[in-house]
Amino acid sequence: MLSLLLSVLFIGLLIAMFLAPLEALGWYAGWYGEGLSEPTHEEEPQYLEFGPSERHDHYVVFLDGIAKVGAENYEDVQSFLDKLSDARPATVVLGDIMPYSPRNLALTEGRPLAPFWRYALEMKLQGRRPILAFSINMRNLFQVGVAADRRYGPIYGQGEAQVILNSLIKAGYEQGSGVPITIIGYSGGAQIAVLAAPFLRRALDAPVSLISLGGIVSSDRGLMELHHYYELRGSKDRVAQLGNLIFPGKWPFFPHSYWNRIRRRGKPVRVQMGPMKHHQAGSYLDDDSEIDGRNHQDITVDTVRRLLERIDRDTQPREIELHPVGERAPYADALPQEDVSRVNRANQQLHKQVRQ
Amino acid sequence: MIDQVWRLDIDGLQAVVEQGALGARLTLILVLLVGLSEAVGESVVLFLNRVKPRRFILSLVISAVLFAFTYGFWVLSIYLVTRFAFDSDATVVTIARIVAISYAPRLFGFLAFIPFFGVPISYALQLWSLLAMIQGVPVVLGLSPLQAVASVVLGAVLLFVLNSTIGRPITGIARWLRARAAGRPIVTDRRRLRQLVDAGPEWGLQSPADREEKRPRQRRAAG
Repeated sequence: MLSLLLSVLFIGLLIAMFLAPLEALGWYAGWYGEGLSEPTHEEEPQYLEFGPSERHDHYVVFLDGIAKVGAENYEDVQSFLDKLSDARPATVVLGDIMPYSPRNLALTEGRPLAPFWRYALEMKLQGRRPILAFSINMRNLFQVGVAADRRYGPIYGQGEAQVILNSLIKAGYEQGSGVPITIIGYSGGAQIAVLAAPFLRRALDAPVSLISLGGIVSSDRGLMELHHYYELRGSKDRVAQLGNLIFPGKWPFFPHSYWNRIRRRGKPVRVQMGPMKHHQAGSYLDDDSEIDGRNHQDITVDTVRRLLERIDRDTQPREIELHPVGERAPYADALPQEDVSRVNRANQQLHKQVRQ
Repeated sequence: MIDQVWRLDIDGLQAVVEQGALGARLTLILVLLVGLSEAVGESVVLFLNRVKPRRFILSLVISAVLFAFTYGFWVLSIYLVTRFAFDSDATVVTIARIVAISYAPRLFGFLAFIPFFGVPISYALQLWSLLAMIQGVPVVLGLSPLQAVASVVLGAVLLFVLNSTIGRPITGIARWLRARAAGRPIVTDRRRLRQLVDAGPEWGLQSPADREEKRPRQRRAAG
Protein backbone atom coordinates (compact mmCIF):
# COMPACT_ATOMS: atom_id res chain seq x y z
CA MET A 1 0.00 0.00 0.00
CA LEU A 2 2.79 2.36 1.00
CA SER A 3 4.81 1.53 -2.12
CA LEU A 4 1.72 2.20 -4.27
CA LEU A 5 1.24 5.56 -2.57
CA LEU A 6 4.89 6.46 -3.04
CA SER A 7 4.73 5.38 -6.69
CA VAL A 8 1.67 7.56 -7.31
CA LEU A 9 3.38 10.46 -5.54
CA PHE A 10 6.56 9.97 -7.57
CA ILE A 11 4.68 9.79 -10.87
CA GLY A 12 2.62 12.83 -9.88
CA LEU A 13 5.77 14.82 -9.15
CA LEU A 14 7.31 13.65 -12.41
CA ILE A 15 4.26 14.85 -14.36
CA ALA A 16 4.26 18.18 -12.51
CA MET A 17 7.97 18.65 -13.28
CA PHE A 18 7.42 17.65 -16.89
CA LEU A 19 4.66 20.22 -17.33
CA ALA A 20 6.48 22.99 -15.43
CA PRO A 21 8.28 24.58 -18.44
CA LEU A 22 5.10 24.73 -20.55
CA GLU A 23 3.90 28.11 -19.27
CA ALA A 24 7.18 29.89 -20.05
CA LEU A 25 7.71 28.08 -23.36
CA GLY A 26 4.08 28.44 -24.43
CA TRP A 27 4.20 32.14 -23.63
CA TYR A 28 7.38 32.56 -25.66
CA ALA A 29 6.01 30.59 -28.61
CA GLY A 30 2.87 32.74 -28.62
CA TRP A 31 0.55 29.87 -27.72
CA TYR A 32 -1.33 32.12 -25.32
CA GLY A 33 -2.01 34.77 -27.95
CA GLU A 34 -0.10 37.75 -29.24
CA GLY A 35 -0.93 40.32 -26.56
CA LEU A 36 1.95 39.11 -24.49
CA SER A 37 3.19 42.34 -22.99
CA GLU A 38 -0.21 43.65 -22.05
CA PRO A 39 -0.08 44.69 -18.38
CA THR A 40 -2.45 42.94 -16.07
CA HIS A 41 -3.01 45.96 -13.84
CA GLU A 42 -5.92 48.13 -14.75
CA GLU A 43 -5.07 51.30 -12.84
CA GLU A 44 -4.10 54.50 -14.63
CA PRO A 45 -0.39 55.24 -14.84
CA GLN A 46 0.65 57.43 -11.95
CA TYR A 47 2.92 60.18 -13.21
CA LEU A 48 2.44 62.44 -10.24
CA GLU A 49 6.03 63.30 -9.73
CA PHE A 50 7.61 65.60 -12.30
CA GLY A 51 10.86 67.44 -12.87
CA PRO A 52 14.28 66.48 -11.56
CA SER A 53 13.65 67.70 -8.02
CA GLU A 54 10.41 65.76 -7.66
CA ARG A 55 11.48 62.63 -9.36
CA HIS A 56 11.70 59.34 -7.50
CA ASP A 57 15.31 58.55 -6.70
CA HIS A 58 15.10 54.77 -6.79
CA TYR A 59 12.74 51.99 -7.83
CA VAL A 60 12.65 48.84 -5.74
CA VAL A 61 10.99 45.68 -7.02
CA PHE A 62 10.28 42.90 -4.54
CA LEU A 63 10.16 39.35 -5.88
CA ASP A 64 8.77 37.06 -3.24
CA GLY A 65 9.73 33.49 -2.41
CA ILE A 66 8.05 30.31 -3.60
CA ALA A 67 4.99 30.69 -1.38
CA LYS A 68 3.71 33.52 -3.59
CA VAL A 69 0.36 32.94 -5.33
CA GLY A 70 -0.44 36.25 -7.05
CA ALA A 71 -0.28 40.03 -6.86
CA GLU A 72 -1.33 40.15 -3.23
CA ASN A 73 1.31 39.76 -0.56
CA TYR A 74 1.35 37.79 2.65
CA GLU A 75 1.07 39.88 5.79
CA ASP A 76 4.77 39.78 6.72
CA VAL A 77 5.83 40.72 3.18
CA GLN A 78 3.38 43.61 2.97
CA SER A 79 4.47 44.88 6.37
CA PHE A 80 8.11 44.74 5.23
CA LEU A 81 7.32 46.63 2.03
CA ASP A 82 5.32 49.27 3.90
CA LYS A 83 8.14 49.84 6.36
CA LEU A 84 10.69 50.04 3.57
CA SER A 85 8.51 52.52 1.72
CA ASP A 86 8.20 54.64 4.88
CA ALA A 87 11.94 54.52 5.40
CA ARG A 88 12.56 55.68 1.81
CA PRO A 89 9.86 58.26 0.98
CA ALA A 90 11.37 59.15 -2.41
CA THR A 91 11.63 55.52 -3.47
CA VAL A 92 8.92 53.60 -5.29
CA VAL A 93 8.52 50.13 -3.80
CA LEU A 94 6.71 47.58 -5.99
CA GLY A 95 5.59 44.25 -4.62
CA ASP A 96 2.78 43.22 -6.93
CA ILE A 97 4.68 40.89 -9.25
CA MET A 98 4.13 37.15 -9.48
CA PRO A 99 7.68 35.92 -10.10
CA TYR A 100 6.63 32.36 -10.87
CA SER A 101 4.57 33.11 -13.94
CA PRO A 102 6.10 34.74 -17.02
CA ARG A 103 2.56 35.89 -17.78
CA ASN A 104 2.20 37.45 -14.30
CA LEU A 105 -0.85 35.27 -13.86
CA ALA A 106 -1.88 34.44 -10.31
CA LEU A 107 -2.24 30.76 -9.49
CA THR A 108 -5.79 31.41 -8.35
CA GLU A 109 -7.09 32.98 -11.57
CA GLY A 110 -7.50 31.98 -15.19
CA ARG A 111 -5.89 28.58 -14.89
CA PRO A 112 -7.43 25.11 -15.19
CA LEU A 113 -6.21 24.32 -11.67
CA ALA A 114 -7.21 27.71 -10.21
CA PRO A 115 -9.90 26.21 -7.89
CA PHE A 116 -7.32 23.80 -6.49
CA TRP A 117 -4.82 26.62 -5.86
CA ARG A 118 -7.53 28.73 -4.23
CA TYR A 119 -8.29 25.86 -1.86
CA ALA A 120 -4.58 25.28 -1.18
CA LEU A 121 -4.15 28.99 -0.41
CA GLU A 122 -7.11 28.91 1.94
CA MET A 123 -5.58 25.96 3.77
CA LYS A 124 -2.22 27.72 3.88
CA LEU A 125 -3.70 30.88 5.37
CA GLN A 126 -5.61 28.82 7.94
CA GLY A 127 -2.55 26.75 8.76
CA ARG A 128 -4.36 23.51 7.90
CA ARG A 129 -3.43 20.53 5.68
CA PRO A 130 0.25 21.40 5.45
CA ILE A 131 1.01 18.97 2.60
CA LEU A 132 -1.75 20.45 0.44
CA ALA A 133 -0.65 23.98 1.34
CA PHE A 134 2.92 23.05 0.51
CA SER A 135 1.85 22.13 -3.03
CA ILE A 136 1.95 25.88 -3.81
CA ASN A 137 5.61 25.94 -2.80
CA MET A 138 6.29 22.80 -4.83
CA ARG A 139 4.65 24.26 -7.91
CA ASN A 140 6.70 27.43 -7.63
CA LEU A 141 9.84 25.47 -6.80
CA PHE A 142 9.50 23.69 -10.14
CA GLN A 143 9.28 27.13 -11.78
CA VAL A 144 12.57 28.03 -10.10
CA GLY A 145 13.88 24.78 -11.63
CA VAL A 146 12.71 26.01 -15.03
CA ALA A 147 14.41 29.34 -14.40
CA ALA A 148 17.64 27.63 -13.35
CA ASP A 149 17.70 25.44 -16.46
CA ARG A 150 20.03 26.89 -19.07
CA ARG A 151 17.63 25.90 -21.85
CA TYR A 152 14.61 27.66 -20.38
CA GLY A 153 16.17 30.35 -18.19
CA PRO A 154 16.63 33.07 -20.85
CA ILE A 155 13.00 32.70 -21.95
CA TYR A 156 11.75 32.82 -18.41
CA GLY A 157 13.92 35.85 -17.68
CA GLN A 158 12.56 37.68 -20.67
CA GLY A 159 8.97 37.07 -19.61
CA GLU A 160 9.57 38.23 -16.06
CA ALA A 161 11.57 41.23 -17.28
CA GLN A 162 8.60 42.34 -19.34
CA VAL A 163 6.32 41.92 -16.33
CA ILE A 164 8.71 44.00 -14.18
CA LEU A 165 9.09 46.56 -16.96
CA ASN A 166 5.32 46.99 -17.22
CA SER A 167 5.06 47.43 -13.47
CA LEU A 168 7.90 49.99 -13.41
CA ILE A 169 6.47 52.07 -16.24
CA LYS A 170 3.03 52.03 -14.73
CA ALA A 171 4.61 53.31 -11.52
CA GLY A 172 6.08 56.23 -13.44
CA TYR A 173 9.56 55.02 -14.33
CA GLU A 174 11.06 57.19 -17.09
CA GLN A 175 13.08 55.23 -19.60
CA GLY A 176 16.54 56.69 -20.10
CA SER A 177 16.41 58.52 -16.76
CA GLY A 178 19.12 56.31 -15.30
CA VAL A 179 17.18 56.06 -12.05
CA PRO A 180 18.54 52.94 -10.35
CA ILE A 181 16.43 49.83 -10.08
CA THR A 182 17.03 47.38 -7.28
CA ILE A 183 15.37 44.02 -7.13
CA ILE A 184 14.96 42.43 -3.74
CA GLY A 185 14.79 38.73 -4.43
CA TYR A 186 13.57 36.59 -1.58
CA SER A 187 14.55 32.92 -1.88
CA GLY A 188 13.66 31.75 -5.43
CA GLY A 189 12.79 35.34 -6.34
CA ALA A 190 16.53 36.07 -6.48
CA GLN A 191 16.94 33.56 -9.31
CA ILE A 192 14.18 35.26 -11.27
CA ALA A 193 15.83 38.63 -10.63
CA VAL A 194 19.15 37.43 -12.04
CA LEU A 195 17.43 36.18 -15.20
CA ALA A 196 15.46 39.38 -15.74
CA ALA A 197 18.35 41.78 -15.02
CA PRO A 198 20.07 41.73 -18.47
CA PHE A 199 16.81 42.39 -20.31
CA LEU A 200 15.80 45.19 -17.92
CA ARG A 201 19.18 46.82 -18.09
CA ARG A 202 19.11 46.83 -21.87
CA ALA A 203 15.53 48.05 -22.14
CA LEU A 204 15.76 50.80 -19.54
CA ASP A 205 19.42 51.75 -19.88
CA ALA A 206 19.64 51.88 -16.10
CA PRO A 207 21.72 50.19 -13.41
CA VAL A 208 19.99 47.10 -12.07
CA SER A 209 21.09 45.77 -8.68
CA LEU A 210 20.08 42.79 -6.61
CA ILE A 211 19.60 42.44 -2.89
CA SER A 212 19.18 38.76 -2.28
CA LEU A 213 17.26 37.82 0.83
CA GLY A 214 18.25 34.24 1.52
CA GLY A 215 18.30 33.94 -2.25
CA ILE A 216 18.72 30.78 -4.30
CA VAL A 217 20.70 31.71 -7.38
CA SER A 218 22.24 29.57 -10.11
CA SER A 219 25.34 30.47 -12.07
CA ASP A 220 23.59 32.46 -14.78
CA ARG A 221 25.00 35.05 -17.18
CA GLY A 222 22.64 37.63 -15.64
CA LEU A 223 25.00 37.76 -12.66
CA MET A 224 27.50 39.58 -14.87
CA GLU A 225 25.00 42.36 -15.55
CA LEU A 226 24.21 43.25 -11.95
CA HIS A 227 25.42 46.68 -10.92
CA HIS A 228 25.47 45.79 -7.23
CA TYR A 229 24.81 42.42 -5.70
CA TYR A 230 24.27 42.06 -1.96
CA GLU A 231 23.48 38.76 -0.37
CA LEU A 232 21.70 38.91 2.97
CA ARG A 233 22.17 35.65 4.76
CA GLY A 234 21.05 34.40 8.18
CA SER A 235 23.29 31.93 9.95
CA LYS A 236 20.31 29.58 10.40
CA ASP A 237 19.21 29.78 6.77
CA ARG A 238 19.81 26.18 5.67
CA VAL A 239 17.82 26.57 2.44
CA ALA A 240 20.09 29.30 1.08
CA GLN A 241 23.13 27.22 2.05
CA LEU A 242 21.70 24.33 0.07
CA GLY A 243 21.42 26.66 -2.92
CA ASN A 244 25.19 26.81 -3.16
CA LEU A 245 25.45 23.03 -3.30
CA ILE A 246 22.84 22.10 -5.88
CA PHE A 247 24.15 24.28 -8.71
CA PRO A 248 27.35 22.83 -10.21
CA GLY A 249 28.27 26.26 -11.61
CA LYS A 250 28.78 27.43 -8.03
CA TRP A 251 31.26 24.70 -7.21
CA PRO A 252 34.91 25.78 -7.11
CA PHE A 253 35.84 23.20 -9.80
CA PHE A 254 34.48 25.43 -12.54
CA PRO A 255 36.56 28.63 -12.35
CA HIS A 256 35.04 30.02 -15.56
CA SER A 257 31.43 29.75 -14.43
CA TYR A 258 29.57 33.06 -14.15
CA TRP A 259 29.33 32.64 -10.40
CA ASN A 260 33.07 32.10 -9.92
CA ARG A 261 33.82 34.99 -12.28
CA ILE A 262 31.76 37.46 -10.25
CA ARG A 263 33.27 36.08 -7.08
CA ARG A 264 36.69 37.13 -8.35
CA ARG A 265 35.23 40.61 -8.88
CA GLY A 266 34.19 40.77 -5.24
CA LYS A 267 30.51 39.94 -5.72
CA PRO A 268 28.23 39.20 -4.10
CA VAL A 269 28.85 41.24 -0.98
CA ARG A 270 27.66 39.00 1.83
CA VAL A 271 25.75 40.69 4.65
CA GLN A 272 25.48 38.55 7.77
CA MET A 273 22.03 38.89 9.29
CA GLY A 274 22.62 37.02 12.52
CA PRO A 275 20.69 33.91 13.54
CA MET A 276 17.82 34.31 11.07
CA LYS A 277 16.07 31.44 9.30
CA HIS A 278 14.88 31.12 5.73
CA HIS A 279 11.15 31.10 6.39
CA GLN A 280 8.36 31.03 9.00
CA ALA A 281 9.19 31.83 12.64
CA GLY A 282 12.64 33.37 12.94
CA SER A 283 12.80 34.36 9.27
CA TYR A 284 14.11 37.60 7.79
CA LEU A 285 10.59 39.07 7.77
CA ASP A 286 9.39 37.77 11.13
CA ASP A 287 8.36 40.65 13.39
CA ASP A 288 7.96 38.45 16.47
CA SER A 289 11.50 37.09 16.72
CA GLU A 290 14.12 39.46 18.06
CA ILE A 291 17.87 39.93 18.09
CA ASP A 292 19.22 42.33 20.73
CA GLY A 293 15.77 43.81 21.31
CA ARG A 294 14.98 44.50 17.63
CA ASN A 295 12.67 42.31 15.60
CA HIS A 296 13.96 40.54 12.49
CA GLN A 297 11.77 42.49 10.13
CA ASP A 298 13.01 45.87 11.39
CA ILE A 299 16.61 44.69 11.14
CA THR A 300 16.02 43.56 7.54
CA VAL A 301 14.28 46.82 6.62
CA ASP A 302 17.13 48.83 8.12
CA THR A 303 19.76 46.73 6.36
CA VAL A 304 18.03 47.05 3.01
CA ARG A 305 17.60 50.81 3.53
CA ARG A 306 21.32 51.24 4.17
CA LEU A 307 22.21 49.12 1.14
CA LEU A 308 19.90 51.21 -1.04
CA GLU A 309 21.69 54.33 0.21
CA ARG A 310 24.98 52.76 -0.74
CA ILE A 311 23.66 51.96 -4.23
CA ASP A 312 22.36 55.56 -4.48
CA ARG A 313 25.81 56.95 -3.79
CA ASP A 314 27.16 55.01 -6.73
CA THR A 315 24.46 55.84 -9.27
CA GLN A 316 23.48 59.25 -10.53
CA PRO A 317 20.18 59.66 -12.35
CA ARG A 318 20.32 61.58 -15.60
CA GLU A 319 18.32 64.74 -16.26
CA ILE A 320 15.11 64.23 -18.24
CA GLU A 321 13.55 66.92 -20.34
CA LEU A 322 9.85 67.56 -20.65
CA HIS A 323 8.50 66.18 -23.90
CA PRO A 324 6.48 68.64 -25.96
CA VAL A 325 2.80 67.79 -26.10
CA GLY A 326 2.01 65.60 -29.08
CA GLU A 327 5.40 63.93 -29.19
CA ARG A 328 5.76 60.40 -28.02
CA ALA A 329 7.55 60.09 -24.71
CA PRO A 330 10.65 57.87 -25.00
CA TYR A 331 9.17 55.32 -22.65
CA ALA A 332 6.03 55.13 -24.75
CA ASP A 333 7.81 52.70 -27.05
CA ALA A 334 8.22 50.34 -24.18
CA LEU A 335 4.50 50.22 -23.58
CA PRO A 336 2.04 48.07 -25.46
CA GLN A 337 -0.01 49.89 -28.03
CA GLU A 338 -3.16 49.90 -25.94
CA ASP A 339 -1.46 52.02 -23.32
CA VAL A 340 0.26 54.61 -25.47
CA SER A 341 -2.80 56.82 -25.73
CA ARG A 342 -3.13 56.74 -21.95
CA VAL A 343 0.51 57.72 -21.56
CA ASN A 344 0.06 60.64 -23.95
CA ARG A 345 -3.01 61.75 -22.04
CA ALA A 346 -1.07 61.56 -18.78
CA ASN A 347 1.76 63.50 -20.38
CA GLN A 348 -0.60 66.29 -21.42
CA GLN A 349 -2.04 66.50 -17.91
CA LEU A 350 1.46 66.86 -16.55
CA HIS A 351 2.15 69.72 -18.92
CA LYS A 352 -0.94 71.43 -17.61
CA GLN A 353 0.15 70.91 -14.01
CA VAL A 354 3.61 72.31 -14.70
CA ARG A 355 2.28 75.41 -16.44
CA GLN A 356 -0.31 76.23 -13.80
CA MET B 1 12.26 -6.74 -22.83
CA ILE B 2 12.69 -3.16 -21.54
CA ASP B 3 13.32 -4.62 -18.13
CA GLN B 4 16.03 -6.86 -19.57
CA VAL B 5 17.66 -3.86 -21.21
CA TRP B 6 17.51 -1.90 -17.96
CA ARG B 7 19.20 -4.76 -16.14
CA LEU B 8 21.60 -5.26 -19.08
CA ASP B 9 20.44 -8.91 -19.09
CA ILE B 10 22.29 -9.93 -22.20
CA ASP B 11 21.28 -13.60 -22.12
CA GLY B 12 17.63 -12.59 -22.08
CA LEU B 13 18.17 -10.14 -24.91
CA GLN B 14 20.02 -12.76 -26.93
CA ALA B 15 17.00 -15.02 -26.58
CA VAL B 16 14.72 -12.20 -27.75
CA VAL B 17 16.87 -11.65 -30.85
CA GLU B 18 17.43 -15.29 -31.70
CA GLN B 19 13.82 -16.35 -31.21
CA GLY B 20 12.73 -13.50 -33.41
CA ALA B 21 10.32 -12.27 -30.73
CA LEU B 22 10.97 -8.75 -31.92
CA GLY B 23 9.44 -8.77 -35.39
CA ALA B 24 10.03 -6.16 -38.06
CA ARG B 25 6.84 -4.28 -37.21
CA LEU B 26 7.59 -4.25 -33.48
CA THR B 27 11.15 -3.11 -34.20
CA LEU B 28 9.87 -0.23 -36.28
CA ILE B 29 7.29 0.76 -33.67
CA LEU B 30 9.96 0.67 -30.96
CA VAL B 31 12.31 2.86 -33.00
CA LEU B 32 9.54 5.31 -33.90
CA LEU B 33 8.45 5.57 -30.26
CA VAL B 34 12.03 6.23 -29.18
CA GLY B 35 12.28 8.90 -31.89
CA LEU B 36 9.03 10.50 -30.78
CA SER B 37 10.02 10.39 -27.13
CA GLU B 38 13.39 12.03 -27.81
CA ALA B 39 11.73 14.64 -30.02
CA VAL B 40 9.44 15.55 -27.11
CA GLY B 41 12.48 15.73 -24.83
CA GLU B 42 14.22 18.13 -27.20
CA SER B 43 11.12 20.09 -28.14
CA VAL B 44 12.44 23.25 -26.52
CA VAL B 45 13.99 23.96 -29.94
CA LEU B 46 10.52 24.02 -31.49
CA PHE B 47 9.27 26.37 -28.79
CA LEU B 48 12.25 28.66 -29.33
CA ASN B 49 11.42 28.73 -33.03
CA ARG B 50 7.85 29.69 -32.09
CA VAL B 51 6.24 26.78 -33.84
CA LYS B 52 2.44 26.77 -33.46
CA PRO B 53 0.69 23.82 -31.73
CA ARG B 54 -0.53 21.91 -34.82
CA ARG B 55 2.77 22.23 -36.61
CA PHE B 56 4.49 21.40 -33.33
CA ILE B 57 2.84 17.98 -33.29
CA LEU B 58 3.57 17.46 -36.97
CA SER B 59 7.22 18.37 -36.34
CA LEU B 60 7.43 15.77 -33.58
CA VAL B 61 6.08 13.09 -35.91
CA ILE B 62 8.52 14.10 -38.66
CA SER B 63 11.37 13.98 -36.14
CA ALA B 64 10.36 10.45 -35.17
CA VAL B 65 10.38 9.36 -38.83
CA LEU B 66 13.76 10.99 -39.42
CA PHE B 67 15.06 9.26 -36.31
CA ALA B 68 13.98 5.93 -37.82
CA PHE B 69 15.98 6.74 -40.96
CA THR B 70 19.04 7.62 -38.88
CA TYR B 71 18.58 4.32 -37.08
CA GLY B 72 18.55 2.57 -40.45
CA PHE B 73 21.84 4.16 -41.49
CA TRP B 74 23.34 3.38 -38.09
CA VAL B 75 22.40 -0.29 -38.49
CA LEU B 76 23.84 -0.31 -41.99
CA SER B 77 27.10 1.25 -40.77
CA ILE B 78 27.52 -1.35 -38.02
CA TYR B 79 26.66 -4.10 -40.50
CA LEU B 80 29.33 -2.93 -42.95
CA VAL B 81 31.95 -2.71 -40.21
CA THR B 82 31.16 -6.13 -38.72
CA ARG B 83 31.02 -7.77 -42.14
CA PHE B 84 34.10 -6.26 -43.79
CA ALA B 85 36.32 -5.46 -40.77
CA PHE B 86 35.56 -8.49 -38.59
CA ASP B 87 34.26 -10.94 -41.15
CA SER B 88 31.05 -11.52 -39.20
CA ASP B 89 28.22 -13.35 -40.94
CA ALA B 90 25.50 -11.58 -38.95
CA THR B 91 22.59 -10.41 -41.04
CA VAL B 92 21.29 -6.86 -41.23
CA VAL B 93 18.07 -8.04 -39.57
CA THR B 94 19.95 -9.38 -36.53
CA ILE B 95 21.89 -6.15 -36.15
CA ALA B 96 18.69 -4.13 -36.63
CA ARG B 97 17.09 -6.06 -33.77
CA ILE B 98 19.95 -5.75 -31.31
CA VAL B 99 20.36 -2.02 -32.02
CA ALA B 100 16.61 -1.46 -31.64
CA ILE B 101 16.58 -3.38 -28.37
CA SER B 102 19.49 -1.38 -27.04
CA TYR B 103 17.49 1.78 -27.78
CA ALA B 104 14.87 0.74 -25.21
CA PRO B 105 16.10 2.98 -22.34
CA ARG B 106 15.71 5.92 -24.67
CA LEU B 107 11.96 5.35 -24.65
CA PHE B 108 12.19 7.62 -21.62
CA GLY B 109 13.94 10.30 -23.66
CA PHE B 110 10.95 12.60 -23.15
CA LEU B 111 12.18 13.09 -19.58
CA ALA B 112 14.89 15.37 -21.00
CA PHE B 113 12.16 18.02 -21.04
CA ILE B 114 12.11 18.09 -17.22
CA PRO B 115 13.75 21.26 -15.96
CA PHE B 116 17.18 21.12 -14.37
CA PHE B 117 17.37 17.31 -14.11
CA GLY B 118 16.33 16.64 -17.70
CA VAL B 119 19.72 16.93 -19.36
CA PRO B 120 21.56 14.61 -16.92
CA ILE B 121 18.70 12.11 -17.25
CA SER B 122 19.03 12.25 -21.01
CA TYR B 123 22.79 11.62 -20.85
CA ALA B 124 22.23 8.71 -18.46
CA LEU B 125 19.68 7.13 -20.82
CA GLN B 126 22.00 7.44 -23.80
CA LEU B 127 24.88 5.96 -21.84
CA TRP B 128 22.67 3.08 -20.75
CA SER B 129 21.63 2.50 -24.33
CA LEU B 130 25.25 2.51 -25.50
CA LEU B 131 26.24 0.06 -22.77
CA ALA B 132 23.39 -2.24 -23.78
CA MET B 133 24.57 -2.11 -27.38
CA ILE B 134 28.21 -2.74 -26.52
CA GLN B 135 27.23 -5.65 -24.27
CA GLY B 136 24.68 -7.04 -26.67
CA VAL B 137 26.58 -6.87 -29.97
CA PRO B 138 29.42 -9.30 -29.05
CA VAL B 139 27.04 -11.92 -27.62
CA VAL B 140 24.57 -11.85 -30.46
CA LEU B 141 27.08 -11.43 -33.28
CA GLY B 142 29.78 -13.67 -31.82
CA LEU B 143 32.44 -10.96 -31.61
CA SER B 144 34.96 -10.24 -28.86
CA PRO B 145 34.12 -7.31 -26.52
CA LEU B 146 36.89 -5.23 -28.12
CA GLN B 147 35.54 -5.97 -31.60
CA ALA B 148 32.06 -5.01 -30.38
CA VAL B 149 33.29 -1.62 -29.13
CA ALA B 150 35.20 -1.14 -32.40
CA SER B 151 32.07 -2.05 -34.40
CA VAL B 152 29.98 0.54 -32.59
CA VAL B 153 32.68 3.25 -32.72
CA LEU B 154 33.64 2.59 -36.36
CA GLY B 155 29.96 2.38 -37.21
CA ALA B 156 29.50 5.84 -35.71
CA VAL B 157 32.48 7.16 -37.67
CA LEU B 158 31.14 5.61 -40.86
CA LEU B 159 27.72 7.15 -40.18
CA PHE B 160 29.37 10.54 -39.73
CA VAL B 161 31.34 10.12 -42.97
CA LEU B 162 28.20 9.03 -44.84
CA ASN B 163 26.32 12.02 -43.43
CA SER B 164 29.01 14.42 -44.57
CA THR B 165 29.36 12.97 -48.06
CA ILE B 166 26.71 11.00 -49.90
CA GLY B 167 24.23 11.67 -47.08
CA ARG B 168 24.27 15.43 -47.59
CA PRO B 169 21.30 15.48 -49.96
CA ILE B 170 19.41 13.33 -47.45
CA THR B 171 20.33 15.75 -44.65
CA GLY B 172 19.09 18.56 -46.87
CA ILE B 173 15.80 16.74 -47.43
CA ALA B 174 15.50 16.18 -43.68
CA ARG B 175 16.04 19.89 -43.04
CA TRP B 176 13.50 20.76 -45.70
CA LEU B 177 11.00 18.34 -44.19
CA ARG B 178 11.47 19.85 -40.73
CA ALA B 179 10.99 23.35 -42.09
CA ARG B 180 7.87 22.26 -44.00
CA ALA B 181 6.40 20.65 -40.90
CA ALA B 182 7.20 23.63 -38.68
CA GLY B 183 6.14 26.18 -41.26
CA ARG B 184 9.49 27.97 -41.02
CA PRO B 185 13.22 27.15 -41.14
CA ILE B 186 14.20 25.71 -37.81
CA VAL B 187 17.19 27.22 -36.05
CA THR B 188 19.04 24.54 -34.13
CA ASP B 189 22.55 25.76 -33.34
CA ARG B 190 23.08 27.16 -29.87
CA ARG B 191 24.48 30.56 -30.85
CA ARG B 192 21.60 31.42 -33.17
CA LEU B 193 19.06 30.12 -30.67
CA ARG B 194 20.55 32.52 -28.13
CA GLN B 195 20.17 35.35 -30.63
CA LEU B 196 16.56 34.33 -31.19
CA VAL B 197 15.82 34.60 -27.47
CA ASP B 198 17.64 37.92 -27.18
CA ALA B 199 15.64 39.31 -30.10
CA GLY B 200 12.58 37.98 -28.28
CA PRO B 201 8.91 38.55 -28.88
CA GLU B 202 8.68 41.30 -26.27
CA TRP B 203 9.64 44.43 -28.11
CA GLY B 204 9.34 46.48 -24.92
CA LEU B 205 12.55 44.82 -23.82
CA GLN B 206 14.61 45.66 -26.85
CA SER B 207 17.11 48.48 -26.63
CA PRO B 208 15.82 51.77 -28.07
CA ALA B 209 18.16 51.40 -31.08
CA ASP B 210 16.91 47.91 -31.87
CA ARG B 211 13.35 49.06 -31.46
CA GLU B 212 13.80 51.58 -34.25
CA GLU B 213 14.93 48.85 -36.63
CA LYS B 214 12.40 46.15 -35.88
CA ARG B 215 8.67 46.14 -36.24
CA PRO B 216 7.06 45.21 -32.93
CA ARG B 217 5.23 41.93 -32.84
CA GLN B 218 2.03 43.43 -31.45
CA ARG B 219 1.76 45.86 -34.34
CA ARG B 220 2.44 43.15 -36.86
CA ALA B 221 -0.29 41.00 -35.35
CA ALA B 222 -2.74 43.87 -35.29
CA GLY B 223 -1.91 45.07 -38.77
